Amino acid sequence: MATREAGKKMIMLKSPDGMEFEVEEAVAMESQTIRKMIEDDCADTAILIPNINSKILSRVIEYCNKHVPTTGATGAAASDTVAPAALAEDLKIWDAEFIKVNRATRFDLIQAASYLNIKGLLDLTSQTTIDTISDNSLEEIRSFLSTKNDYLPEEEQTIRRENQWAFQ
Amino acid sequence: MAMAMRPPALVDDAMREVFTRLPADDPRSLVRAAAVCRSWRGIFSDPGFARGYRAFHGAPPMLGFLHNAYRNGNRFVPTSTFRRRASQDRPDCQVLDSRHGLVLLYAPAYELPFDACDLVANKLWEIEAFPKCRGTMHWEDIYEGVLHCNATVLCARDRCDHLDCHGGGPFLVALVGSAEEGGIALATAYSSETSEWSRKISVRSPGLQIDDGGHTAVVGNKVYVPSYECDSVVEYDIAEQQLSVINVPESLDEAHLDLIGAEDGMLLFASVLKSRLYLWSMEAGPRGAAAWARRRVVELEPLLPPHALLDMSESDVWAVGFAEGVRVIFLRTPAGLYAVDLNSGRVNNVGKYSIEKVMPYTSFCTRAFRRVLASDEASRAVAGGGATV
Repeated sequence: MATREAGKKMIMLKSPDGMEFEVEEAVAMESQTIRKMIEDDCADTAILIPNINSKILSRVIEYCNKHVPTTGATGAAASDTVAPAALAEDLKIWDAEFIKVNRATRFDLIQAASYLNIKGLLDLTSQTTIDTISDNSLEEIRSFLSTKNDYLPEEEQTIRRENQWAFQ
Repeated sequence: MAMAMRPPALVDDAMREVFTRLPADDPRSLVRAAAVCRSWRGIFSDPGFARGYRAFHGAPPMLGFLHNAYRNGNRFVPTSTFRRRASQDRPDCQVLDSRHGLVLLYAPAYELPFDACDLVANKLWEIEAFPKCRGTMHWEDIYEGVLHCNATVLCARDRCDHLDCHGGGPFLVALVGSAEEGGIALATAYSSETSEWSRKISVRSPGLQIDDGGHTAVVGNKVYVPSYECDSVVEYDIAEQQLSVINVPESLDEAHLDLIGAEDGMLLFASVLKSRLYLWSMEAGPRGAAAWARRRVVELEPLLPPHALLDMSESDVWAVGFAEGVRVIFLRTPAGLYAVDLNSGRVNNVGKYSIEKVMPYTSFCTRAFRRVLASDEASRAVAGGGATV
C-alpha cells in the first residue's frame, strides 16, 4: 500500500466495543452522515459510532477505502494508467467478493450503511435480498430470509385474492 | 474527546432500505414482500415509506401500454411485472387515453359510455356522456353536424406533481372535436368533482380539423390536441374555459410532425426521416405564437434491427406513443412495434406493426398497497389478531 502523503487529515472512528480505527478523512466522508458532522464542525478528532460493532465497522471502512475516489486533485499515479472501464470492472469483482458473507452479517452491513448513509454500500448489500424477493415465491422468500409468517390463514387469503396478479 | 452520534434505529431500517430499492417496474415484488409478514407489511403501509420510495425512483414507472385491437376491444401489454386484473379486461371498450395513472375507456353502445379506470387501485368511475355520443367519438350535434373528437383524461388535483395522483383524486375528461367540414373546433370538459360537463365552447380557424386518433398533450391545466394537417394544435385551457389555435412552426425538410406528448412543460413532436428520429420541443407563447425551443436527433440505425429500417423512402417508421417521465418512445416499423428508451438506449420489440397508437400506463404502485393493506387491516380486526409493529 502506498504511504500516506503528508497533510492528509486523519480521523478516529470508535466502535462501542472499544476498538479505534484511524482513517483518512476522505475515506470517512464516504459516509454522508460523517461528512455532515465534519462539514458542520461537529466532529472532533474522534467519532463514536454507536451500535456498529468493530467487526462490521472494519468491513465498512474496508469498503470505503476501496471506493473512495482515487483521482483527487493530486491525481493518483495508478488511475492515470488504468482505463476507467477496467477500474469499474475491478471494483465490481471486488464488490462481489466483499458481499460473500452470511445473512446476519449482510443485514448488519445494511443497517450500518443505512445509518452511516453510504449509498454504494447500501445498493450492494440490498441487492441479494432484492434478488431473493424478485425471483421467488412467497413461501421461498420466507424460507430464504428466515421470516416467520405471522398472518392468519384468512388474512393471507385476502391479500392473495386482492392481488391475484402478483401471485400467479 | 469522542463525539457521540445518535444511535441508529434497528432491524426494520435495514428492510426499509432494501424495500426502497425494489425496482419500480417490479410491483409484483413489492406486493409479495408486503405479504411475507406483519412487520414487513408495517413498513409498506407507512406513508413515509411510500414518499421515500417515490423520491428514490423519480418518475412513475411504465407498467405497460394500452392499444386498441381492430374491432376487438383493447389490450394491455405489460412492460413490467404488473398485470391488469381479469375484471379490468373490457373487450367491449376502446381505450381513448391514459395519463396520471388513469385510463379513459369508451363503449359507445352503453348508456354511460365513458369510464375512467385506475388499474393499480382497481377503481372505476362511470361518466355520463354529453353530448350524446354515437360511433367512435363522433357525435351528432345540433349545431355542427357530425363531429370528430379526441379525448383526454387528466388529474385535477390542485398543485399535484402527478407522481402518485391516481386512486380517487379528482380528475377531468376533456373532449375537443371539430365538424366534418372543418373550420371550427369545439370543446367541453367533465369534472369528477361536479359530475358535470362544462358548457361547450368553440373557436374558428379556416380548414381546422381535429385529429381524433392522434395523441393529446397536457401542460398544467391546458390540453393540446393536434389537427389532421399537423400544422396546428388546439389549446384548451380548462380552468379559464378558453379555446385557441396555435400554429406549429415549420420544420426542416417539411417533415411530418406528430404530437406525442409533453416534456419539461413544452409540447413534444416527433418525426422519422431517413433512419433518424427527430424530437422537437415547442414552446407555446401568448396569442397563438409558438417557436421551436429544442431539436434532438436520435440515430436509429444502431438501435433498431436492419429489417425495421428497410425502405425508409416510404416513411414506414412512425412515432406512435411516448411515455413521459421515463422517456420511452414507441416506434412503429415494418418489423413490428419497438419501445426505445431514450435515456438508456435500450430497445425492445413489444408488438406488431398493426398497432397504430400506443398509450403508455405509468404509475407507482405504492398507493395500492395502502388500500389493500387497509382491507387486510380490517380483516385482522375482525379476526382479533395480535399486535404488530
